[in-house]
Amino acid sequence: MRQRCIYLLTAFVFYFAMFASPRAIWAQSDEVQATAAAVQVDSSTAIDEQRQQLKDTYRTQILEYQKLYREFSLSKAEFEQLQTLASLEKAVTSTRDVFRARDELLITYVQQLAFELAASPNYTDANTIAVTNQLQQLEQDLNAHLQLVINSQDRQALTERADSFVALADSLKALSAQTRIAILLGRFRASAGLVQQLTADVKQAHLDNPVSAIDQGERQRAYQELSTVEASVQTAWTKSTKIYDEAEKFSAGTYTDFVVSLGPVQSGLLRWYTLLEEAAQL
Amino acid sequence: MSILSKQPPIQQTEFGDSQMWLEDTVHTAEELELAASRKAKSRRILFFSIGGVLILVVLVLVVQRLMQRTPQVEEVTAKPTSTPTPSVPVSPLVARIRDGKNRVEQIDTANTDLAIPQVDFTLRLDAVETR
Repeated sequence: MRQRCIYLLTAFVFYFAMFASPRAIWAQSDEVQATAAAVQVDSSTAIDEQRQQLKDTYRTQILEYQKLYREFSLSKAEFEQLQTLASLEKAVTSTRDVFRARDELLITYVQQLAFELAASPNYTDANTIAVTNQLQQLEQDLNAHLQLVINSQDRQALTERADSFVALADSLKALSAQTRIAILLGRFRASAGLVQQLTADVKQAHLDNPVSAIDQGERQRAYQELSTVEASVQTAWTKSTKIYDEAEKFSAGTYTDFVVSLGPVQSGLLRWYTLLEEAAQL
Repeated sequence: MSILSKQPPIQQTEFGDSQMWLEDTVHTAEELELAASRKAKSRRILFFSIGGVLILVVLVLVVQRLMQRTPQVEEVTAKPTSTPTPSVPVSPLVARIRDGKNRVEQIDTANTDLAIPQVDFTLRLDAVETR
């Protein structure tokens, strides 16, 4: 009987030592990993939250605009057909509503542009400041236009609002293209700066870890390839920046040309990183 | 010849009960002790076998658990960085290079998120009047 008890006890000890305890350790390990992940997420939470808030507002406003645009189209068609005072009154109201919704949507869009420009690396500090100021000015102009729209009570006032909006729309289109290009230039400039720094770090690591003459030859060949790809990236980069720096007026066409010119920059940078990773392992 | 004399003589072919008892082996105290110790030994072997089987089952369960856990741990670590967990440890420098490469890959040149809103920039009510 005593022996049986000892055997059973031994079996339980084995069970807890090898099965239950590791479970507890795994559970702790999961908690630690979850905490580490949470810390990483927290570091960018503020920016992400603000970005998400703007996106949510934008989504709500575009739905509102689409709904009001349909109502505007119907009331306008009704007025066109009936030509009555009642239908005119309805058309004026729906026009004012759709103008208001459009202004509100565009204000949020300008805020998004300003936010992303601020959150991205600078192309040049002066350029970022200049574009930010233009965006702030445009936001103010749109807000002023919005107030005038809200206060517009008749058909004549709304006609004036439509006229004054033309200049605002042109500014918005140009500034949208300019900001989006500036954001991309900033991101690529930061990536190019980083890969240059990493190249210097790899060369320094090689100096700190001397190898045989044969392996040193391999390293030299890798450096030559890196120099070649660096030169090609530099050439493509110059072309891209020229489009931006020399643009007198920005438009959708400018943006398209710029994006096409960025293709070789992006592929060159990727090639550079690939070669650098290989070189780092020599 | 009498009837009785016709009966065949009784042939004793089986042992009686008394004879069986007489032939039964007699165990001495030492023999009994020996038998008891054999019995205890066989019991011990039985318990050791059961213990061994239990340990084996526990080991199998542990290995099974480990095989199930490993991908989950990778999943947790992979979520925040969105990069695959390298199976071979890499130097910090190589890790930085890979991180930089990922950033370049993630740049969306079309910048579709910031595309200009699809609104009618030429809305006018007075267009009704001109028709």
